[in-house]
Amino acid sequence: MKRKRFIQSTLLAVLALIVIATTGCGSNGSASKGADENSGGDIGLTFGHFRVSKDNIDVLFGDTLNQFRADHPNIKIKEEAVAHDPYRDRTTTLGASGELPDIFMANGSMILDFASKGYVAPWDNVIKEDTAWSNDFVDGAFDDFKVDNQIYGVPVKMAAVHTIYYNKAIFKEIGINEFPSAWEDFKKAITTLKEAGYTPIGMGNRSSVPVGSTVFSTLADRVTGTNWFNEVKSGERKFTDPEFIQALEAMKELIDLQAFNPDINSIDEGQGEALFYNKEAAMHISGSWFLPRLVREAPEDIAANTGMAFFPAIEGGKGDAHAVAGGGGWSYAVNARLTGEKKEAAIELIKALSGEKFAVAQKEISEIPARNVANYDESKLSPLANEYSKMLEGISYTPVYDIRLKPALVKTIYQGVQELLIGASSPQQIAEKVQSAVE
Amino acid sequence: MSSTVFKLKLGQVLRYLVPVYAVYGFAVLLPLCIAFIYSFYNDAGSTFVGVQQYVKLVQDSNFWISFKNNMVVVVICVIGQVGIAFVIATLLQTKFLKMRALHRVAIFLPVVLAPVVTGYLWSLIYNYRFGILNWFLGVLGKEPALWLDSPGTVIYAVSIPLVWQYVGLYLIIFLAGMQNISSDIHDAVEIDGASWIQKTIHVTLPLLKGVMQVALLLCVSGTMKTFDHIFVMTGGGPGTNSMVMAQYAYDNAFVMSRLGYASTISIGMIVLSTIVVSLVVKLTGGGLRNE
Repeated sequence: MKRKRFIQSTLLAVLALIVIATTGCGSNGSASKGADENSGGDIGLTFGHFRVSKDNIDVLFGDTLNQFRADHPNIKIKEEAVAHDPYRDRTTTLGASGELPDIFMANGSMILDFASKGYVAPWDNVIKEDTAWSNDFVDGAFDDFKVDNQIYGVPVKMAAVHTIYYNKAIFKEIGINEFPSAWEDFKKAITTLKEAGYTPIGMGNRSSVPVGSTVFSTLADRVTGTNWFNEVKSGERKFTDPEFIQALEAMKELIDLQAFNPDINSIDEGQGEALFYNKEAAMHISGSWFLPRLVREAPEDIAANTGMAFFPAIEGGKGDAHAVAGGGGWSYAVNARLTGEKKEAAIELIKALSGEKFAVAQKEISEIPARNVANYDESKLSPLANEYSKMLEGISYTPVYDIRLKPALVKTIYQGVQELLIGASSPQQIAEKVQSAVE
Repeated sequence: MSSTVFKLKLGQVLRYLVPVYAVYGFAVLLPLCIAFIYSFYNDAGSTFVGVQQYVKLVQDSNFWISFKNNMVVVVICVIGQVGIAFVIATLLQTKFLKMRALHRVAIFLPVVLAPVVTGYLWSLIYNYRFGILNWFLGVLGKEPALWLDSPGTVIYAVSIPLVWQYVGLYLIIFLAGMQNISSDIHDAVEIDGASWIQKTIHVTLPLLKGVMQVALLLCVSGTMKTFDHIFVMTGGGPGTNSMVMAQYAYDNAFVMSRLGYASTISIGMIVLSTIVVSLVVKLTGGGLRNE
């Protein structure tokens, strides 16, 4: 009898503890929300971003944010900032539980995920109303953040997710003065480099993202063309189509030539860059984000001898050779649960971070802004950065797989490319696996 | 008499344990229940889909590859951790060995390292360009090996750090067990003229049966949920060649944004681990009740 009562009281105690713990969290949450709305004019906004380093762009971002705070003393911005890679994980996790900040940075893949769950607010009305702000954006800047023809994010910047950085001195040494402009010549160059004892392309691919993103997205587009990608995304075509298998086969051609360093899948990106820095590798493939790093970190003779190029056209391929995988990549998004003046404040803040003034400053620190800017100070750019921005003029951007497709599909494709790298699967097998991940 | 004392105090003792149970319930049981509930929902966690995720799990070849890899790691760890620890423990008991304490400390030291540190340490050891293993091969005039890039052997390569790290733990367990064996038995055996091997197989091993069962149980259940080392060294790659179940669940939840399916994998993991662990208990002679 006594024992029974004891068990009851214990159970009650445990239950009470759990109830206190859970409701405790709950009431905390609602209390802070209430405070935001009622404290007489003050508007509280949480802002999730990854601008935490001492890089130029992060400093510019911080300065702009502080300027905005000074201009709008009634808007209280609470930053929830973590570094880029953990930020991705954090935001995906917050998204899974629906606890996203008021404003946050989201890439195309996240937007795709969040828009279908109703977590992000559309921008179409704002874009239509404030044409002074929205007119100057680069063509296709919003494409990465469109779901069912509605725009859910404002691009942070433009990024080319593929650029071949090559060592001109090494190319000269093996008798190539101009970067090959045909696929066959490119393959020949790889063979010659290999024979001369160089690693033709040095990269790190432990996470399977670098090769998938910076090599395969562009290479695949050269073969399949962008139309095929759009059709496969809408479900009209399949990954088992001959186009995609040919794209994987083009990738396999490079692998069969032993174009990559043998330890590519066990080292990370930084270690791959080191191969380019110490002249072991003649080429390194990365995105536009590598350029500022190269200017800052590379030994002087490497930086002076670096040339930049894109994949040449592939004979019989449907893609445009004057194109590169890229686009907005990351965007600023607004939480769908914001309303009234809170939402207006959020929109105003994002306009400050994507306006003319910000874009000019971006250009002057060798970034590629998402809007066309004419009046910037060219002397502030390094020669390499100037060359690069000329290279990107008039280029068209093609879809990046890890930005346009859902995360689960991206992982399957990139893992497939990694399997291709180690010779574990054939193009046909990978295509079937990817298609089954769609279904 | 003693039983009434115990009964009187039982209530009080259990009451002191309430905070412990509360924390355990909140930090372990509750998430487990939530994962179980989530495993019946779609990937956004919004609609109930019944056993659909489980059907998908059973047909998912990647999951079974992960399970197979897990079993390879378990076998290597049972032989490596428990086996080597037992051999070292018996060697430490012999009279020829000098500097016993030093050996014990050196072997136990890796146990206190964080798994992430061990993972990084070993990815440096395995490094193709400046790793110590390839340096050694170079000294011997051999070609450098791709330790973490060869699809066929990577799962063995990532198992070795696990053995290296935890061998000390089982060593301590065995040493404690061996100290409980009365020295009279050893003396008697030695007078009978048994060799060291005979002594180990016919005397020490049978007397350590209970300890051995505990060690096996710890080793198998610990290895079924292994994650950190492999996450740091290869992230399950290349391809899926070093993918284990925990890594697969992580990938699904945090890389592929499939929370429902990741929960299903975790539940699948628990079920499979329970089966394997109970098989081990059965094979080693039915439960620990007799001890």
